[in-house]
Amino acid sequence: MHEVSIATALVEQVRRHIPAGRKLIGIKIEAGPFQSIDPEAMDMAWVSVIDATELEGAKLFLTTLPYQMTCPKCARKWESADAFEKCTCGSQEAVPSGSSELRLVSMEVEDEANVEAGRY
Amino acid sequence: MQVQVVENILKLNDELAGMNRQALRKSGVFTIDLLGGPGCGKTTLVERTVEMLSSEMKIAVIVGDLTTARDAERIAKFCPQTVQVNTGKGCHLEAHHVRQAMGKIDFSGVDLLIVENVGNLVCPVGFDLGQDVKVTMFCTTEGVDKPAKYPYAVDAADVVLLNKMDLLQYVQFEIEQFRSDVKRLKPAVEIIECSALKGDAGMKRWTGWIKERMAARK
Repeated sequence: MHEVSIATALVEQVRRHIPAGRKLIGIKIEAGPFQSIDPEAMDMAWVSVIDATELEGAKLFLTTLPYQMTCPKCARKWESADAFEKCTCGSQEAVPSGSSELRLVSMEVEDEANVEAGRY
Repeated sequence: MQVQVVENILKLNDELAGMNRQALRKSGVFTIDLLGGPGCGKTTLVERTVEMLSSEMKIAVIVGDLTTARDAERIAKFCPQTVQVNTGKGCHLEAHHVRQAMGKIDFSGVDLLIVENVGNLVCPVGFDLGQDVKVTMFCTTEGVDKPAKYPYAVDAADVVLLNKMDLLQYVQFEIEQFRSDVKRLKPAVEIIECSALKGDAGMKRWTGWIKERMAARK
């Protein structure tokens, strides 16, 4: 459900950053696993909030980042999609971190500025 | 053409939350954001907390729900300054909800603001409201796996409450499993086991924790 709030915030953010007169083709976002974003729900939320706006048709590309795991027993560090993954040393006490990122990384916009008379 | 941005998506919410935090601190108010699943006992916890602390301090409450003013009606019996926020379809409170609700509260002399979030262990976690501390509440009747299934709610918590301890003997709840999952996710976090309904020793520990945190900030 928070996907709708995130999509709404994204629309405002894109409008702040988009070069004047350019049409948006797509956006890339990254989310840490703590954000619990469902990719399908995120896509649906994005499509619905840009419906009938100047952003309609723009694609959303979501990358879900892995947990950064640290084992307190052997100090090994690795990446995992599972916050409770065991360490190869057998320890079950690895601590997941660096997992709550939520950011707009980049936007793909049309090359030529839209110079259609009176549109902007 | 690619435009690099690399910016937090919730930047505007975070900025508004920062303004809330600044205003609340300027008024000398300590603010708690209370998270927990539906039915874990958040409203009962707020009722009992206000009842236990109201002789020592002035408290205001903001309570978020999708609909109805039932929680505010319950809490208002203990706390005259209670504001209900209805989020409609929104599954969590955002900084602007709290900002609006703050406008309905007279903060003169208020020491503590408790914000009871919408019952949900996923969506509210990433939205800063301007609080000083985030509190995540679980209960013995909702199953032992909740911390493992909602790790962000544990990671973001300044303290974890386990409510309905009075029912522990009637339910299958491996308390050691709960404790070790919470500690695994956030080794330093304190777990307070309590019964908000009974107002037990755990509730004294909880109200003591609030007072310690308030004193530490001053």
